[in-house]
Amino acid sequence: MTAAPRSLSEDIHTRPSLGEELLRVEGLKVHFPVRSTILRRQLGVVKAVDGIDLTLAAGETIGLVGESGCGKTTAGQAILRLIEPTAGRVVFRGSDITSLSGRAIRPLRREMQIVLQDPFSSLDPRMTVRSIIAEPLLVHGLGGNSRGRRRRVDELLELVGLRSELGSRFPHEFSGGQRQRIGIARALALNPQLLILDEPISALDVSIQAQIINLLEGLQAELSLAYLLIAHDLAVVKHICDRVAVMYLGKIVEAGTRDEIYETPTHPYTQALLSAVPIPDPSKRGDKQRILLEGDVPSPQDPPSGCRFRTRCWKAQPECSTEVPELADRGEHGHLNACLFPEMVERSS
Amino acid sequence: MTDDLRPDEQATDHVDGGPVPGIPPDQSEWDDSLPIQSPWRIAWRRFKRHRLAFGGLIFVIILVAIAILAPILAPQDPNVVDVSASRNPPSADHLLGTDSAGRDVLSRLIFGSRVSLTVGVAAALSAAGLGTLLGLLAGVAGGWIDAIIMRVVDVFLSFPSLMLILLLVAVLGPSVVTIIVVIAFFEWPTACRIVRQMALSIKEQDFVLAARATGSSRWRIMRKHVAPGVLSPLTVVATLLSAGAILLEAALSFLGLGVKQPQASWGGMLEEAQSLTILKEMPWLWIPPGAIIALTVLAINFIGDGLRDALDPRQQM
Repeated sequence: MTAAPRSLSEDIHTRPSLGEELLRVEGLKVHFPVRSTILRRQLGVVKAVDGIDLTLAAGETIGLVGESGCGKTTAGQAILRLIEPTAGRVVFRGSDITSLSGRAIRPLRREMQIVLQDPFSSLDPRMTVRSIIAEPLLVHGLGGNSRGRRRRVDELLELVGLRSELGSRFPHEFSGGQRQRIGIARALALNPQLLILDEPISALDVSIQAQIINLLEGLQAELSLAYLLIAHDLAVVKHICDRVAVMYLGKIVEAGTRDEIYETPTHPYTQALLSAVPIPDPSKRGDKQRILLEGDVPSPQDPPSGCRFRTRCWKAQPECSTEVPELADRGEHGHLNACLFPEMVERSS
Repeated sequence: MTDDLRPDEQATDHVDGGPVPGIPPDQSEWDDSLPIQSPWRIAWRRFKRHRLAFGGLIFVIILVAIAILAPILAPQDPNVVDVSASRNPPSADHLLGTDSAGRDVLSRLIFGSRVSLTVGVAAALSAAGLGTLLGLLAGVAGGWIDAIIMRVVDVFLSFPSLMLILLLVAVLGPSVVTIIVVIAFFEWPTACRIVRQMALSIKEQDFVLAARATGSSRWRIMRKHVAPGVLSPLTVVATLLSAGAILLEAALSFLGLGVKQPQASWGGMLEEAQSLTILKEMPWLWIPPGAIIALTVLAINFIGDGLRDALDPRQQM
């Protein structure tokens, strides 16, 4: 769909041309205080997200990958201000939204929506599919009268590949994949420019996953959406992302284009993650070096000094415990990493 | 109106065109002949399968019909005193005999159902209403509001309520309205606790997060998501509360603090059974009201059990 001309008074609702910056995240931090039960004394701080930077252009897909508990989901929700960021800025189309009041942020909710991981708990079991999808329209007073809204909901259902007659049914009558389509339809109801996809397929059967991925790709082409895909499935990220950021313990450790990350990873964590991706072709499995990481992710309440990955890194040096590696372009690799001793590994894939 | 155009604009691409090109349609099998299964319809189907509960429901429906049609159904005026016919055993004239004042026991039983059911329904509804309001407030607002409401609930639940109810009724003067108000005043904390607990668990569901992401206000989330979710456990609680209220009313009337004579009530009829001669020699004076109280409370409790099973989301079908 090409951007149709719209009135300039609705500045924020015009679509930027493809490639124009849509979202910029600067130094985003989310810290949760840990308090004692009775006296509410602060015992410590969980640094779920500890300073991440991202940019996302219109129509682009960026993947945010990492293990469970590394802060991906928290980061996604903080960008939408569903969780209040502790520090940092989220800039959407040039305006800082981090300091906006709850009321002032409401119009922006039309532009940024989220698709949640669990299609079973993300739909209210007591509402019909039609009223679930119509809810965003009602909240924002869109879609005109009830007939207009009904038409819009029918279109949305068809847009996500569901028959519009199913609108009068309840969520529990649908399969996981169908429910996820409903969740996507709800997120699209306001015609947003940015979708945060929080592990949209990890709760689905493998056979359904491909359908939903294809749906998301089709919608992106149709509606020129920008996606922030939060995932731990590297194969999916490789399939649909233009750029990838790898997160570990609240920080981005490596970021670059898809090819840079997948073909020439430089951070040992990225290399370890990629080595764990199963290879579909059995004849190629022999060449593969698996890097097995030892130990668990350290507690985000008390992260290691210096480089956070050093406790599990096979290359760790004494400097790693004293010096915090910034996310920077270190010489010849051409993309950003946060390792003092980056090493390019060529991967055939 | 400019706002309204926006979604439609996008729609022009694929208006009534069925599947959108480039979008993979859902391929799951789907049987359109299946009826739409709303949560309440499923609950009703499960409830019907619960025999005791269904029987209880029929019993209560009949009782309600009797209460409404009391003036037609009662063979005699329940309040006509006939001293010559005092404490007569059951006969063709008086199917269940007469009481100490010569009034027809069956007619008094039929009219007494009005008091019991009114008190049961009204007290349970007011208690559930007040409890829901405060429970939602505590659950959704949280913080110090929650803390204060919950401490008040604790205080109420730790009082020996019957003593206080007696005291309050004595001070306010016995009447149906007093009894309803006083019972509701002591029963709301039960409803409040359940509602708060439900509200807290619904608040953490992903669909509330999704609603926040679309910009729904807190008030809207409470109305559209939390309140409907609280409704099903609340119906169970309200049912059980109404059984409790009927028992309390009977106890108060038995102690002489219920509705004023000569108005008939089941508990009031039992008051006569405080004498040993009546207990021993005139069972028609106390067995019918005693049995009807027990049966009614039992039926309502069965309904409550059936509702709890039917509305439990963890149970399938």
